[in-house]
Amino acid sequence: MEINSETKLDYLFLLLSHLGKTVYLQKEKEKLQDDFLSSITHEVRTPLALIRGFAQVLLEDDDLYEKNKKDFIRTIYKESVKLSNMLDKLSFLSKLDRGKLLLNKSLVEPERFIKEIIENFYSSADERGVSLTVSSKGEIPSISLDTEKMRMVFQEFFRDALKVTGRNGKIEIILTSTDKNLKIELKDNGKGIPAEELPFIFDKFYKVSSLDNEEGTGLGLVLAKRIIEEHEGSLTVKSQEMKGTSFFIFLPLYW
Amino acid sequence: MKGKTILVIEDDFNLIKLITYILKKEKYDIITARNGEEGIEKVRANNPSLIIVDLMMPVMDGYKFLMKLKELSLSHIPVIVTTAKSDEAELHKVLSMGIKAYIKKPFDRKFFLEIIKKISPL
Repeated sequence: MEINSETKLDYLFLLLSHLGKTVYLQKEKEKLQDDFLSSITHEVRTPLALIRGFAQVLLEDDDLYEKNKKDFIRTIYKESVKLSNMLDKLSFLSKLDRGKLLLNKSLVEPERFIKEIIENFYSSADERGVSLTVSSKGEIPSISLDTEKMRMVFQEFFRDALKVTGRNGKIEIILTSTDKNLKIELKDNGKGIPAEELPFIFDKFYKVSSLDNEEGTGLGLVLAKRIIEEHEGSLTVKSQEMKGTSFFIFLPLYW
Repeated sequence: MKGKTILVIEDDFNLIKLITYILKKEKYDIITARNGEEGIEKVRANNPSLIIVDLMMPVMDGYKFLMKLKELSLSHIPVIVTTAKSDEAELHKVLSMGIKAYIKKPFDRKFFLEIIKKISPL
């Protein structure tokens, strides 16, 4: 094949555009890492400000009322738990992203599995006057799940649902199945999520305003979605302010 | 004797509690708001001598609050921004909006009070 100057130019052009693309992708990657680091720094600063601030007050002020002392220590404790939860979740997410977290699946009966998790939430639900029910529509086949990781997903949903439902609130878990999928609807009649917030609720560190969630890390839903996706499933949401929210988990029955 | 009134606008309930405690101990009168919108109402109703505002808040954030303040010709009230942001460019942007100072979280109580007392002495 004859290589003329025109071919050489084409080749050079291709090489340069490839190089440009690589540099662009590298820059994008670095930007994403910078943004992520900046988000973490931002999220850590507020709990740290509280821990440092209240600890300083406790150390410096001898005239504190016993009631204040307890309250400040409680805040320090809660904020440190929050920080530790955040770090656990970040480490978990990082392992997921790097493909380092393998699923350890076993066959479970979905309704029984969810009922076992929900048992730990009955007393908090009772205290708040919230009803918590699990039901199945039709026959539900067994499904292969990593029970430990899926337990985290459901715990996250139940905790959030309890926070947004007031007295006489209702949380329903409805299971249905098609030929290919298991659909789990987690429905509450709580405050709902404002429409303008819906596109962001699965973003890292996004905190849904209606949750008014002091302990929230803004990582729970991200983690839930990632775990479901690891199971080749999907997570969607429908919500109406003041009427409630439904999260839908779709999991393949055979994979 | 009635002290000077400081308006604290912050969405984190515990930070409001901490800042209120620190400033009340120094004999400042404190009023609080959980977002910029509520903050504007409190400015109008109470005419504070200083405003401490967080940047990241729901409903109306610190930036929009500062713009609204200007729009309502209330920029004569000194403003201090508290922020968990550490990006220098972002902080310069806030400084250019006419605020007196910014305080990065987490902050030292002594440093925090020095700034407050300098801008709004009792």
